[in-house]
Amino acid sequence: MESTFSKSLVQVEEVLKYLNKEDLKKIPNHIVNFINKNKSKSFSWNIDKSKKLSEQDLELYAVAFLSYINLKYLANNEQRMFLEKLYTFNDKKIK
Amino acid sequence: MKNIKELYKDIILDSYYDEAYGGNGTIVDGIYRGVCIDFSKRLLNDLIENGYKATIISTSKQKEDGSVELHAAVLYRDRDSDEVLIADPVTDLRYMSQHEMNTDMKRESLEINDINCRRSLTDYINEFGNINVYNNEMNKCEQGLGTEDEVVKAFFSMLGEKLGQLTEKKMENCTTLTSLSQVKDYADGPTWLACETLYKKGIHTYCSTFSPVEEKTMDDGSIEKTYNYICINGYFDSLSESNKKIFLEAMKRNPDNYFLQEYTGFYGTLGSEYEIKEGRPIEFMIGFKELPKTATESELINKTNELAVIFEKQISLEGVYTREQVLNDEHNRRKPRSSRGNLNSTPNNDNVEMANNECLQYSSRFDLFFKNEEVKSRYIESIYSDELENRSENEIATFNGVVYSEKYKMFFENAEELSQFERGKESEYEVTTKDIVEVSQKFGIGHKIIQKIKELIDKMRGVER
Repeated sequence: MESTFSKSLVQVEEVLKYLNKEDLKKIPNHIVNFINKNKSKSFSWNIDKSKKLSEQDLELYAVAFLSYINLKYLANNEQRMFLEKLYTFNDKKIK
Repeated sequence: MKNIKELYKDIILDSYYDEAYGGNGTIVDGIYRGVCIDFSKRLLNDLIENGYKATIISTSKQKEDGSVELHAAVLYRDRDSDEVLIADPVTDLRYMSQHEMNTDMKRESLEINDINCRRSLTDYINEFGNINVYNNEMNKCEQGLGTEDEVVKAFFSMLGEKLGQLTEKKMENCTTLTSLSQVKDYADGPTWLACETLYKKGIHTYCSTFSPVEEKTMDDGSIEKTYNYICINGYFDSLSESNKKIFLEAMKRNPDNYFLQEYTGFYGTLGSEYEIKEGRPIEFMIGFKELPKTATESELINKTNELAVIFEKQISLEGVYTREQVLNDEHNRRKPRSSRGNLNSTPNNDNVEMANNECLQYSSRFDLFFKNEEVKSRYIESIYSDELENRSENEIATFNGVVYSEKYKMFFENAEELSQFERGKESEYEVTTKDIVEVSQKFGIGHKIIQKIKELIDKMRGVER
C-alpha cells in the first residue's frame, strides 16, 4: 500500500505546476528529483482550479513539504523572518 | 520612433482625469489604486514600443489629515542622456481637470513643458514619498525606496538584471459584484446597508467611502469619532429612466445628499459642481458632506440607507448595451481617453461579429451586448429576482431556466456558458508563495514537521551519494 507521504508528493508535484516560472526556477533539481522518485505511482490528484490552495484537500505532509520549499527556496529575507516566527509560534501552539 | 516628450504629449492631449473612470483603476494587494496606474501603463507601453526601457512606480504618502495619497508614474531611462528619470502624466492630467481644461479645444493650445515628463528621482521622492518600483507585469515590486540610488538599482533589477528584495503583488481588475452576500465585504463602514439596498434594486455602484477624520479618547476610555463624509458612487447612465428622474428630483430637494459628477478631485469626494458631458451626467453620488459629531454607527447606517430606499427596483443596466448603443460607441464612453472613434464595427456587421470586434458578449436570448460575464450575471439576477426576494439563487435560476453557480456566485444563461467561464478561470490559476503561507497557517505547520521533511530529503541525498 502506498504511504501517505508518497501520495502527498503527488499533490506537491501538482501544486508546483501552478507556480510562476520565476519561482519554479528557484527550486533545485535535487528537490524535483526527490519528489519524482518518491511520489506514489498509482495515486493521482488534480488541483481544483475553482478553489484557493487553502481550500484544496491537501495532506498534512504535502503542506509541510510546500512550506519547506517556500521557506528554503522561494521566500525573500523579510518573508523568511516572518515564516520563522510563524513556525516557531505554531510549534508552541501545538504543545 | 517618437521621443519621450512626444509620447508624453500624446498621452496628455488624449486623456481625461476625472472620477468617472473609477472603474478603470487597478487593485494592488487589495488596495484600490485608481486610474493613476491606468494612465501610467499607457505611457509605459508607448515608451517600450518606442525603444525605451521603462517600468511603473507607485507611492503612498500619508497626508496631514490622516488620509493617504496614492500616486503612480513611469520610471524610464532617457535614450539621449542615459539618465533614469520619472514621467508623471497624472499630475498634469489632474491639473488640467482642476482647471477646467477637459476639452480638446483648450488642450490644443496647451504648451506641454518638460517639468513632469523629466522629473528627477530626488525631487519626486521629496514630493510623493518613498517609491515602489514594479516589474512590467506588476506582480513583483521593490518597496519603500527612499533614495535615488535605491530606485536606480531597483529599476535595473526590474529590467532583468540581478534582482533585489522582491515582494509579490496581487493584481486584480475592478470587478462587478455578482452576489448580495459580497456587498458587505466591499462596502465601506456604515454604507453597507445602503449598498445592499441599491444592489437589491438593481442599481450598480462602483465605490463607497466612509471618511472618519478625527478620533478622540474620552475620560471613560471610549473613543469619539468626528466623521467627514459618507459617499456612494454610481454611474448615471446605469440608472433606469425612472430612477434618473427620482435622483434629479431628490437632488433638487436635498442638494447636500444627492450629487452629480464633480469634475475635479479624487474617488469618493463630494462636490457641489458637476460636469455634464455630451449633455449627460457621468456619475451620481449619494451621501453626506458633513456628518454629525455624535452620530452612532447604527445611526449612520440607517441615515445612509434612507438615501437609497427612495429608488425603484430596476433592471441592472451597467455594462449592458443594445445594438444601437454599441453602434453609437456607448460602450467606449467612459474610457479615459478624450478621442472617440474607437468603434471597430459597422452596421453591416451581425451581432456576433460586432461583439467580437468590440470585446463584448452578445446574448441572443436577451438580444443585448454585455461588457463581461459578471455584468451579465447581475442583469439576469435583476430581471428574475424581486427586491424582497425569499427564494435562493438556485430556485430563481431553476424557475427561470437559467443556471446558477454556487462556486462563482453567478448566474449564467445555460450550462455551456458556465463551463466556458470555468475554462477561462482555470487557465488563469496560479499558486503564489502567499497561498503557501496561507495553507501552512491553516494546517498549523511548525519547524518540527518541516525539519522532518528536511531530514528525509537529506537522507535520500546521502543514499544517492
